[in-house]
Amino acid sequence: MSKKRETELSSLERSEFIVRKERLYGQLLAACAVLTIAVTVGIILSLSGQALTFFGHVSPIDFLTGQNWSPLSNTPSYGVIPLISGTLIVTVGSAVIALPVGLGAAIYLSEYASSRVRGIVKPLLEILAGIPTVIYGYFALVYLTPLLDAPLPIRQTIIPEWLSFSLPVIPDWVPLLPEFTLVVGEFVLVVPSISTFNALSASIAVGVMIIPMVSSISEDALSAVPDSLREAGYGLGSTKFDVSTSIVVPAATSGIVSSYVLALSRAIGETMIVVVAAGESPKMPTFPNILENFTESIETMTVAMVNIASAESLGETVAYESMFAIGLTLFAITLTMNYIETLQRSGRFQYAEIKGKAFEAILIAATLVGLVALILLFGFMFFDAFGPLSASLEWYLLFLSTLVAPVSAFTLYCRRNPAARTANARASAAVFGGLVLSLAAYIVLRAMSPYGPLVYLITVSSMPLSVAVYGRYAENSYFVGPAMVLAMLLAIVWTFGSEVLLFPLLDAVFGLGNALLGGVPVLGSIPVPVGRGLLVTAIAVGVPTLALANSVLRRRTSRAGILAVFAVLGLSAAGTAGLDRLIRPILEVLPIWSAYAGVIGLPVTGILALLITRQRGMRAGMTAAVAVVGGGLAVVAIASAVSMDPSLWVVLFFGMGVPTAYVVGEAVISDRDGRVGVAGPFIILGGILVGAYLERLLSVTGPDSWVTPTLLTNSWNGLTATEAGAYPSIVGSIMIVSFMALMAFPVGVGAAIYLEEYAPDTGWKGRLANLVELNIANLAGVPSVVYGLLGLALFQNLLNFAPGLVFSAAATLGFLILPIVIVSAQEALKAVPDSLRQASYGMGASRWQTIRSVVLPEAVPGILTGTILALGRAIGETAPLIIIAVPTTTFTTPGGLFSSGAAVPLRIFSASANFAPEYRKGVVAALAIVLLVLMLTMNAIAIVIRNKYQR
Amino acid sequence: MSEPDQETQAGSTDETGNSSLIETHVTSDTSVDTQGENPTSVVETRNLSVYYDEEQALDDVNLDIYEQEVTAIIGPSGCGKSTFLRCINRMNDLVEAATIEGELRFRGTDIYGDNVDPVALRRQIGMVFQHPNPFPKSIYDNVAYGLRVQDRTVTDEIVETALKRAALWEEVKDQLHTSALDLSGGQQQRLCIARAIAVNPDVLLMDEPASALDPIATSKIEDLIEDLTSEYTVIIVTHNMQQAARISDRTAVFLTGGELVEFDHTTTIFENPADDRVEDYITGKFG
Repeated sequence: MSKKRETELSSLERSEFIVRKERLYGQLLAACAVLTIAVTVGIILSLSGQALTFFGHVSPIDFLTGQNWSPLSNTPSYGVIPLISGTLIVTVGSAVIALPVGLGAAIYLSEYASSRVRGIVKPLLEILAGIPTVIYGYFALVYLTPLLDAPLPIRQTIIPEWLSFSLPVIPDWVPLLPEFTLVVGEFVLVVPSISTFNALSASIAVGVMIIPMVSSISEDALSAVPDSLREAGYGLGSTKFDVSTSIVVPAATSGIVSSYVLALSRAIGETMIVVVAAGESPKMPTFPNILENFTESIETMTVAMVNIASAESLGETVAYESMFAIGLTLFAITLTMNYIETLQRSGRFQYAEIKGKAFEAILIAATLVGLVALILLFGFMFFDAFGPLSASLEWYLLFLSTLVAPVSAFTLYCRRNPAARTANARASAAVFGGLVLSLAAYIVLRAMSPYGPLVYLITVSSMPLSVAVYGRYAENSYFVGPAMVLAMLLAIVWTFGSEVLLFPLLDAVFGLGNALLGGVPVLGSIPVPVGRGLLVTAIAVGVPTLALANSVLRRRTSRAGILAVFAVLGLSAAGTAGLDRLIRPILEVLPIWSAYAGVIGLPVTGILALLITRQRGMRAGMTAAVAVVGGGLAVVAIASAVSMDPSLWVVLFFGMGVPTAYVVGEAVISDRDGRVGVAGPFIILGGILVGAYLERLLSVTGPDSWVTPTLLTNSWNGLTATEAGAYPSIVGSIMIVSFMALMAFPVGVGAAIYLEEYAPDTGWKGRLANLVELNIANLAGVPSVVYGLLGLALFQNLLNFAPGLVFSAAATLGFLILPIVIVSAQEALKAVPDSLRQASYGMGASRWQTIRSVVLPEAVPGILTGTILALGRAIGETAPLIIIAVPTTTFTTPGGLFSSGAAVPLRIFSASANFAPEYRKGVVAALAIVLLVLMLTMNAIAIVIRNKYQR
Repeated sequence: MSEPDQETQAGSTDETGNSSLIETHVTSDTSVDTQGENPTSVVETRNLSVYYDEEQALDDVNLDIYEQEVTAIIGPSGCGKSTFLRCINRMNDLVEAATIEGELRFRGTDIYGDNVDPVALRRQIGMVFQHPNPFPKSIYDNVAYGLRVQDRTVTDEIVETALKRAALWEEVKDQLHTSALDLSGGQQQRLCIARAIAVNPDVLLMDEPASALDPIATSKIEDLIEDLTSEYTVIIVTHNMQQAARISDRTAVFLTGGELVEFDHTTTIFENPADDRVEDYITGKFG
């Protein structure tokens, strides 16, 4: 026995290649983490660079002490105090609402609410923080201000007559009551008017927005107070009130203060609400009647930046530079606040002696404030967008019987049968998820033409293959994995951006070659476009071949060899882009539906075949693949037979039909108890279809809705509201968010893996990791408008890109959501129990193997949840897009990454300025509802994933 | 070799048995030579000390582990038992605060030497942990995990053999592709043993493998460990002295401060310990 073992005994070393490969993975992950520092440095550089030029024109003292802000007038003046005071007014106003209400809600949720209530209310409140701020702004302007202006008693102030005469400041008080004052007996009734743009409704909206920041973070802090402390209190005979106020809240003080500082920091940096609702009149605050400041239009720092950015053709003027100076000031303020947040560790809260039930009632009321705000916001917009009152009773009865009744019955059935509920959830995910993703894919492909992505799919998927083959023979094989990722990214950027990035470069190279070899007649006579196609093809095919041959022959590792690998990768990526130009004309001969089928169908069929092969063997997998392809062809045949364009149907077949068939099939075959559950989504779809058919058949009057196919498929038409559509903006939003995810997701997850799994606690690496973590926390608090300045400086000033490209927008938002992705991925990694890592290491797995096969699979649901929430945030983000000059209105869809696009929130922003009622309360409300529904769907998906996988 | 029949009697008989042993209290150095026939040592430590920051966890430990024996490590809580075990496969490397002094040789190589890769080392020294920690994968994938990370071919035979050796095959052969988390605690722990032996390691470290299990599952694990000795060198940390007496060939006693007080044949330790403190510990007067 021991003889046998000795022969098996290998050395106590591992293959040098593998060790180096894994070290390289670690370094790449570390690079992701360090990138976040680069973002901060980039922000500081881009802000301070332009700001320094500005301070060359305007002295910092004048800037910081000036009382007049008018950068765009003929006699410009750059005093920032009116802007700071404007910001302060909104911050104070929102704090008055959010801080007490948020804390009350937090105490209620943590101490009084049952876990069931908490489970429902907390996510509902968190929705408030996720609503795009441009929608809050719209809500404040269109619904809140008229509400406040209506003759309601709350806006009337009654001053005792003796006060109005005995105080010498009466003349100063008068502006508070410009409408009228009524002297009744010994009282003066003061009725203040409120201007269309005013700080009050903006403050309320900002306050509502930051309530969940206070309530969620405080609730976490309160829940973290150990139960033993509470029990100690109860054991001494304390009441719930005593325990809450004198034990739990003081113990959680630092968390509560944290939540306050973060919420205020968010309020300071808030842009879109104030842009839309508070107007743009910089003014000095009035004293002593501070309330008056709220009734009038003001201007905050963020608004001033947006104003300058949206003013046309400014160029490198002082006004343009002043935007960066404000940005720097804002950055400094929020950074200080975030820093205070990380430092603060003390503080005491005192509570009035309110006892028992009264206290609980107040807490419930605080919680309700948030919920009521949510209901109001949705309610108003819903009514205006869908016009439910205009529908006839018959219409309601019709859909009650076709949709509501069957769905309710089915829901009741599922509640009794958990297996069916699970099956229902999976089938719904397949049907509705497939539907949404297919439509999104179809829309993007249609905008860019599907041939490009098809070429990309063919060439790029062949490239990693060639790299892998190369790696098999080369000594530098440890490069293959990371190199593949790198090559894919390069190829994506270059394929989509070949006109902007690659062609000028190649033309220069080709021109140089032509000039050098000018005497050669053949080369000289080749037209440049053909020549560059030939050149890149030669590079793409030739260089990898040469390198491969070289390494096979020489079998040598050297620094030059390493460089060669990277050269090969770069060049083959270039080659891919070149092949795009060569292959594409050939592919374009094929009918367009085949391009759609290729782009969507190939990966879907591949994944399905792989899944089924793994479960039921090779034969079944191949059969399924053949069946799917056959089905696709059948769809095309049927669509052509009834003379419809098969493209959309083919996309729906592969994107929605195939996943649905897989999920339903699996449930029917193997899930005996739950198979009925898969009917759920079909009952909903069927109910809608039957209802719609009957509605037309019986000519029932439906609601006069603004959410119509026109809205979603037309381009923006300024002439009539009924023809107005947001299709180009929808396409732009989808493209921006998907490319952003493509960029931010790998980097964010990589950085999180480095910080959680690699970074040591001590040494210079430990200090670096601490710095990165602190930096990420600070980045998360930087106002989004400042990221806009980063994008502006980086892409337009430094790289000279055209304004408002889809790529710049995607990258800018990518920087913005990077900290969110990192933090949530870190949380997900932290939640993986350490015993699993220990088990894996104990089995002789390396760190990389442990991460790849044990840690990541466990953390994926959490990472996905965080990422989806971050995407939801990005889809409504407006301010940075205004700063980088993304157009608010386009009439055509963006043709690719490097063309300029629009976005839905910008559409809302620009349309909310239109005061015609059919826009104000029609089209815009409909667009806002579309955006909200999109965001809510993403949140719901994230919550479903979180609940399903939470242990 | 210990006589399991005599020792498996639990409870009060054990106590009387031990107290009678105390009275005899005779040190016999000769017994070591009579029982071991010049065995090969697999692991040797020389002046091994471990510190966590300033705190000393192991104090100058000199110990030889012999091939194809079960070596039990016993001692009170916090005496450094687990630390010692985790030094052998360098799991302590994962604890940043730990510093190691002295020498620890595995088959003659100093494992803290420059050319030793801890990952490669752990591929030859398997480990089973206190709490069953199967991966949230299928039973099959759990057993195959070690082979996969070592780039070795996974065959159904290897998986079957490992599960049979861990006495789990009959219970799970029809559900190899269901989640390992559906197994009971005892089954999970045997799966962890199967997972560890599937890669055919040289040494198997066990850190209180039965402490989280019920008595029936515990006795199954103990039977299994005895069987494993025919092929593996097993080092087991336990706080259960009856268990050490039942299953081990030699026993090392650590006391507070990380000091190795006595190391000898298990029968000698339990019947005739040289050190008074060991005797006190074994009879329950301290610890």
